[in-house]
Amino acid sequence: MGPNPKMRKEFFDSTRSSPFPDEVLERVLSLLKSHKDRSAVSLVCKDWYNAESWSRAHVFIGNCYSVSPEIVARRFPRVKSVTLKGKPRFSDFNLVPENWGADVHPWLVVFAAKYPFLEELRLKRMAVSDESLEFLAINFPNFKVLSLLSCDGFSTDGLAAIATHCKNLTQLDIHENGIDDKSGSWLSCFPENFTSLEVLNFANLNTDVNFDALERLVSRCKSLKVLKASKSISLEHLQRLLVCAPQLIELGTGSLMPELTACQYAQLENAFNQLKNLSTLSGLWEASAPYLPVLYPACTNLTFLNLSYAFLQSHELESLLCQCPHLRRLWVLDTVGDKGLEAVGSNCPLLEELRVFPADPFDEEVIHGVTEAGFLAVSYGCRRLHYVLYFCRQMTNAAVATIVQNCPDFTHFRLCIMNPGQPDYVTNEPMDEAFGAVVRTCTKLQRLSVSGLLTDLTFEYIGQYAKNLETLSVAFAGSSDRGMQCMLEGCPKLRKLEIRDCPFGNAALLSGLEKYESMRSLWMSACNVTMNGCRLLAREMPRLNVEVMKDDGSDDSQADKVYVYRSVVGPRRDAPPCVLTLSGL
Amino acid sequence: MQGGFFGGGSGGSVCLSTVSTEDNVVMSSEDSSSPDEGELELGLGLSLGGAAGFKGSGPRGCQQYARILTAKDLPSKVSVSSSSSTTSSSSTLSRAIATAGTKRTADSVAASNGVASQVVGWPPIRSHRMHIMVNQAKSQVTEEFSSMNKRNNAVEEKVGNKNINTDNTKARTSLFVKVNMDGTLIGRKVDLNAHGCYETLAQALENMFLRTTTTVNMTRLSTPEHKNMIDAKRHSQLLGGSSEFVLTYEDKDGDWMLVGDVPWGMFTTSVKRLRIMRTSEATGLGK
Repeated sequence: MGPNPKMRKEFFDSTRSSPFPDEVLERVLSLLKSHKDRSAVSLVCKDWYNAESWSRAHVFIGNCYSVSPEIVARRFPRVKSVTLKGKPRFSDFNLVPENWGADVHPWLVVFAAKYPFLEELRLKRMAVSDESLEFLAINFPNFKVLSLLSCDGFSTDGLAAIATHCKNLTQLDIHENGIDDKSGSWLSCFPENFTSLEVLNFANLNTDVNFDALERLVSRCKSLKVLKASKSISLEHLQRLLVCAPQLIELGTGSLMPELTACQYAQLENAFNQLKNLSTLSGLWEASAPYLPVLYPACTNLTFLNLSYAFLQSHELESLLCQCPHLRRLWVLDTVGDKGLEAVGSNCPLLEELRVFPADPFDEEVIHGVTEAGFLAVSYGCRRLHYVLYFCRQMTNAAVATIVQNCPDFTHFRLCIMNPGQPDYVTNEPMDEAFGAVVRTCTKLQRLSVSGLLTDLTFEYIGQYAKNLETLSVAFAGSSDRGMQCMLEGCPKLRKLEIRDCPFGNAALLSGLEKYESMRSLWMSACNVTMNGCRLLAREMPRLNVEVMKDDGSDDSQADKVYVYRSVVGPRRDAPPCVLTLSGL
Repeated sequence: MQGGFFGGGSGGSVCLSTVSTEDNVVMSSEDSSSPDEGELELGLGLSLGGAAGFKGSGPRGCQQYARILTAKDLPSKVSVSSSSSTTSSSSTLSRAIATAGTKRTADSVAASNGVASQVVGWPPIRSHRMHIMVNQAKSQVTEEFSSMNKRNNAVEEKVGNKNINTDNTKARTSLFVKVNMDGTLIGRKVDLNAHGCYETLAQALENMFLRTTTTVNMTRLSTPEHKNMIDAKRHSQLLGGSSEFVLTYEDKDGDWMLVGDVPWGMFTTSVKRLRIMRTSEATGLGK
């Protein structure tokens, strides 16, 4: 992300080149929103660097350890909005210990001094404590937007502090966090004169909130656009909320389980009928067939339907999809089966994104879920598909080849054949040709997750063809170091590479020496990398942080988990004992 | 430059596994005590095995058949009552999931088979999502039991609330068995110890498998009297012998028997799993 040494020298030498005053330049640059564009702009010359720095209102930090809050504040004095990401993605799957780091507090302390008017904070995979949330709530009077995704370390007490003190809050988005859900009383902490809320997402909390407080809150926040309720909200409650907020654009229902009388059912149907602007529908916990029709009136304008917590069967899905002619994004459980996916193919011609999650990932006893047939069916009907996440138990090379023929515009292709190292179940061959077809055909591919039985050939294909690939996830694949070498030597735009349980060793690790500084990070776990290999890497590349975590009882020389990332601030000082920081010494 | 420290020769600074040892204690007693591997996975989700294609079992294996009960004395259809969702602590369950994975890590290194359930963090589903689905699947099962327990006083009151997994002080253990129905993709699990007799079991299964959209829409529109008539007509479906389906079970010897002949206590000790079979297939068993 920072300029490389060659560029830095050049622009420090340049003379002033702007034909117009700084203020004009700043004004023009302030219209630039993309941080990639802004980074490019900042490399043009010193004046543009300064103007860009002064006009940047939103800063995105993809790895909290790549830079320090002091450096950020020094460079960007007028930031109003920060996005910060912490732990490696595999922490989502319990591969990273809880005390690993990524504590947001040091950032907040600096921000309180340098950005007292900070308005927005979006955190992903950061460690957040209740103290930090309270600190945030008290020290930033203009604070408006808080989004916590996959964070952990806090409880509902922290939410209570936010609700109590943030008078200007417009968004509170608490999504899939490791939160200590003590009680729902935090919701009652919003003051009675508080009316600014536009987004409220507490879908993944379990404890009951005071419904009356919620109803009053929803009634008085006339700008509320997004409401994602938790399971504890019953259908009766939902009906009352919808009556208060017919202007909702995104709705996450509570539980669809409880029984209603005919009269209550009619009222609920009526409430859904009022939601003329609904574009996103989610929640639907415990969705059962009897109550799905109640949603139909609100489905006309739906573009995103998240059924990933609803155990639906194929015919139930089909009936629902018939009501959603404009659907662009669909998330489902594999309980709908191939038949359900056929219905998707038939009813969703505008579909761009499909995610199919396994309802029962650990039960291999009986074949169920979805197969290549379902994916094929979708590809025939949904030619605009460009994002897929697909969990299945069987796949063939031929099917994948056909799928990408039908949908050549994939930007994100994440295929998870759940049994590790499983071959094409028809031909018994490796799945190399499948992913070869993907990278050859889908020239816009940015993100790829591979699975199944794969040899080095897959990675030769990837290195050769995946010119736009930025994120690559590999598990239980490859035959030798050559596989990883191909990835590192090809793929010019590679930024994030995560590998687990592959036979790649030191030679593979070290073949990427030049590459890692242009990447955000590399993760390798349960591969064949040793401590010596890691030490060598650390010695050769002083601007990389090389961190190793060892598993219980493993050989002293093995580097069980390796996390390598570029940083301008050197090794981190807050690493817990289980994280070994290797330096060149 | 700050010197990093390397792993000591004694391995004293070895990283903790993803779950600390104390978390193992929190796992439910049924998970640790049950010998059946399927039971260990109880904390991880209901079995959703497909009905068709049971491996290695089927009516062919059945030697005897049992005389089936008539349905005259089945109670009227019980509605699922509303209740709050399960409240097991999220961190507990996700740690249980992580523990289940971690415990078997040692096996996975040797396992060339690469069975999915033996590997930590695989398949790559966020622990939060898994926790949500597990709790939801569980509560769908237990909702029906607790409502039935309230209505049928004949049934001995078992565990009262929805938390089956982490309540270490509960009065009884559960006896979950898988249930599959021919023609239905989703299998379920039912806790036999939540019932004291065949009637309530049949009722639970009917609610699970035979409660279709059309049926309930009819129920919604009809008066209470009409509703009871509809319910009565459907009572004969599972145990009456005159409908499309019969309830069978696989016993300890691997034989498939019709449910209802042996005393309930004997049934629960010998049953391995249940199957709601098409009558057309069951008649092959002989009468």
